[in-house]
Amino acid sequence: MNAFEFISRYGGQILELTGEHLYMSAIAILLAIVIGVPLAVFMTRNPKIAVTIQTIINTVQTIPTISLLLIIMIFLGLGYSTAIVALVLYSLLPIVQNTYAGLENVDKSMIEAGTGMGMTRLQLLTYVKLPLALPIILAGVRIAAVVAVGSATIATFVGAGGLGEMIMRGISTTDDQKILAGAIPAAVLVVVVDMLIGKIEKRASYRVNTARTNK
Amino acid sequence: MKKRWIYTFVTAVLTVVLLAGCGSSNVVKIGHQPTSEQTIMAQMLKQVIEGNSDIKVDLVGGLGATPVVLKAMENNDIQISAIRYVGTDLTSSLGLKEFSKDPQEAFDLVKKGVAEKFDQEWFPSYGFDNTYVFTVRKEIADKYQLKKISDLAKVARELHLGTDASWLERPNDGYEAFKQEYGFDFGKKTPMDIGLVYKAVANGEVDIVLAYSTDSRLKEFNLVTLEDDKHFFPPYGASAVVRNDTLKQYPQLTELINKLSNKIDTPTMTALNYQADVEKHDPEEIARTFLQEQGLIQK
Amino acid sequence: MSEFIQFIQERHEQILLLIWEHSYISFIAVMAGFLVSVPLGIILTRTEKMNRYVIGFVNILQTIPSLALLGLMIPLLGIGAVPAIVALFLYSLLPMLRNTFTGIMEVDPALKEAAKGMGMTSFQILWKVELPLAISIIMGGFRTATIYTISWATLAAVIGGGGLGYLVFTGLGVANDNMLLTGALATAMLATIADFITRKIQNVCTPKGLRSNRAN
Repeated sequence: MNAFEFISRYGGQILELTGEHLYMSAIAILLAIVIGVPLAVFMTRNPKIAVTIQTIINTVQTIPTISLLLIIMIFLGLGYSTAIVALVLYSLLPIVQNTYAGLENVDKSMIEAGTGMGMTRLQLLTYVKLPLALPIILAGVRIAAVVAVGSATIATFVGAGGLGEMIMRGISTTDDQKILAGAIPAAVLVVVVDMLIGKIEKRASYRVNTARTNK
Repeated sequence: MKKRWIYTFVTAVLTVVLLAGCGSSNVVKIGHQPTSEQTIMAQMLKQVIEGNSDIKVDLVGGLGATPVVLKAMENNDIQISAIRYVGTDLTSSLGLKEFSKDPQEAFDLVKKGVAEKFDQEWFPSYGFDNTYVFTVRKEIADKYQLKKISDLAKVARELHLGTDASWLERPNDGYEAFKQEYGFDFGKKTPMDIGLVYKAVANGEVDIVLAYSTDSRLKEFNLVTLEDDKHFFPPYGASAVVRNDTLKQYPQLTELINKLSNKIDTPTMTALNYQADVEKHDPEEIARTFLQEQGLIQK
Repeated sequence: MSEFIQFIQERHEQILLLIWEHSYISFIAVMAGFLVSVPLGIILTRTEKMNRYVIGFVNILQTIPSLALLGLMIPLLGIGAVPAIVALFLYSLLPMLRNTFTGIMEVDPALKEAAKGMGMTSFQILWKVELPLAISIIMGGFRTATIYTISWATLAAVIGGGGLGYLVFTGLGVANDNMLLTGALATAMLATIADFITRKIQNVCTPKGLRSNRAN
C-alpha cells in the first residue's frame, strides 16, 4: 500500500484519533497546572511536608502504566476519564519541580523590597514571586505538555482511543506504516502545543524583563 | 473577579472530564486487545449479532492487557470479551498454578470457574487454538536438520532463544516444566516483547522464537515450526466470554454467538491473520467476507 | 503478605540482579543525557534561532513510542541493555535541555551587563554569573529527568535488557501479583533514593548566597 492509498483509507480515522489525543492531553495539562502550581507554592511554605509530597509524586511516576490504569479503573471505568487522570499524574512532576525551583530561585533582594513596601505574603506571591518565576514555571509546563502528548498513547489501553490505538495496532502486527500514522500526528501535536506555550512564555518573559530593567 | 474565573474554569474542566466517563447503556459493548486476531473476531461478533438481530453493538478496541479486559468485564464497561484463551484465563483470572493439559478438562474447568467466580458465560471454542510453538530460522532448520522439538536437544546449547517474558514464569506450560519434559536447555534466553522478537529474528539476533500458533508473522519471517513431539504445549481453545446478566437481557445472544462455534480452525485463523498483518486488509472487511462465505450474514 | 515475603526470599538473588541492571541502565542514560544536554543548552543560549529547531527535535524524540524506537534500534544496536540505554538517553534529554536553556536565559540581564562592565569575558560571565544563578534550575531539570528515567527504564525488559521491567511485565503476564508488586516497589525505592541523592547535589551546587534558608 503506498502512502496515498493509506491516507485515503485511514485519513478520516487518523484525524478523529488526533482529535481525541489532543482533547485528552490538553485537559490533562490544564489539570496538571491547576493542581501542580498551587501544590508547589504550598511546598515552598512547608519544607517538611514538601519532601513527603515530592516522594509521593515520584512514587506515582514509578507505578507501572497498566497497574496505574487498573487502579484508576476501579473508580472511573474505561474511557477518557481514566486516561486523563493517569496523564495528569504522569505530567505533574516537571510542573511541581520547576515551580518549586523557580520560586526558590527568586532574587532575595526583590522579596526584601516587596516586604519593605509592606506587602502581605499573598501579595508578595502574586506580585513578585510568581511573575518572576513564571518563565521557569512555563518551562516546566512545556516539558509536561510534551510528556503528556507523548504518553497519551496509553489511552488506548483503557479503550479511550487516541493515536495510541493506531500505534498499538502497528506494533502488534509489526506494521511500520501504522506506527508512523500514529507517531507522526503525535509529533506534529507536540510541535504545535509547544509553539502555543512558547508564545505565552515569550510574552511573560518580555513583561518580566521590562519590569526588571525598570527597577 | 479573577478568582471566580478560575473557579468557573476548574468546574468546567471537571464537568467535562466526569461527563466523558458516562456512556449510553442500551448497546452491548465488545472489548478486545489490539492484535489482528482479536480485532477480526470482535468484528465477526459485531457483524453476526447486528446482521441477525436488532441489538446494537459497540467495539472497545486496543485494551492494554488481559487484566484490563478482566477488570472492564467486572465493571460492566464491556459485556463481551471478543477472545479469551483457556490457558491464559486459568492462570490469570482464576489464579490456578496447576491444571489438566487435556483440552476438554481444561475447558470444563475454565467454564465452571468463570461462571462461579465472575458470573460470566464461557462460550464453546471458535475452533482454533492459540498455543506456543517453537520456530527456528530457515537456515538453522536446514543446517541442523530440525523437524521436531526433540531434534533441538543436541544443538540447543549453541542457540539463542527469544521469548516473551511470561513464558519463563508460566507455572503449567512454562520454561521450568519444559526443561523437565524435554530434558534440555538453551544456550541463551532473552525475554522480550514478542513484537520485537520478530524484528530480532529478522536481524539474526536470535535463532529460535517461541511464537503463538496463529501468528501470521511465522510465514512473513520465514520461520519453520517444530513439531511438539512430546505434546508439551496444550492446545487450548479460544472463545468469547459474556456477562450472564447481558445474556439474560438479550436471550438471543447465546444463539447468535454460537453461530461462530467451531467455524474457524487454526489454519483458517492463521490465514485471516495473514490477510490483516501482511496483505494489510481491513479487519472489518476480512470478517465480512468470511461471514458471507460461510452464509452467516446476508450479502 | 507472608506470600510476598516468601517470594522475595526465594528470588532475592534475581531481584538484586534486576535492581542492579535497572540502576546502571538508568544511571548511564541520565549521565549521558546530562553531559550532552547541559553543554547543548548553553550553546543554544549563545545562538539566535537554533534553539527552536534543536528543542523541537528533542520534543519530537519524546513522542516516539518506546516499542517503535526500540524496534528501529535492533538493526543498529541489536538487543539487550545497549539499545535500552540509548532510548532512555534520548528520552532524558528534554527536561535537562529545556531547564538549562531557560535557566540561563532568565538570568537577570542587568547582572550580565554589570559583569560585562567589570570587564569579564563571555566565558567568565557564564562560569561566574550565569551558571551559578541558573544551577538550581538546571539541577531541577536533572532531578525530573532522573525520576522519569528510572520510571521509564522498565522498557529495558521488552528488548532483553533486563531490569525491574522483567518483574513488572511478567507479573502482569502471568497474573503474579507478588512479582508485579516487587517490581513496582523496587522501582519506587530506586526513585526515592535517587531523589534524595539528587536533592543533596542540588543543594550543594546552589551557591551559598542563593541558598534558601528553608530546607529543600
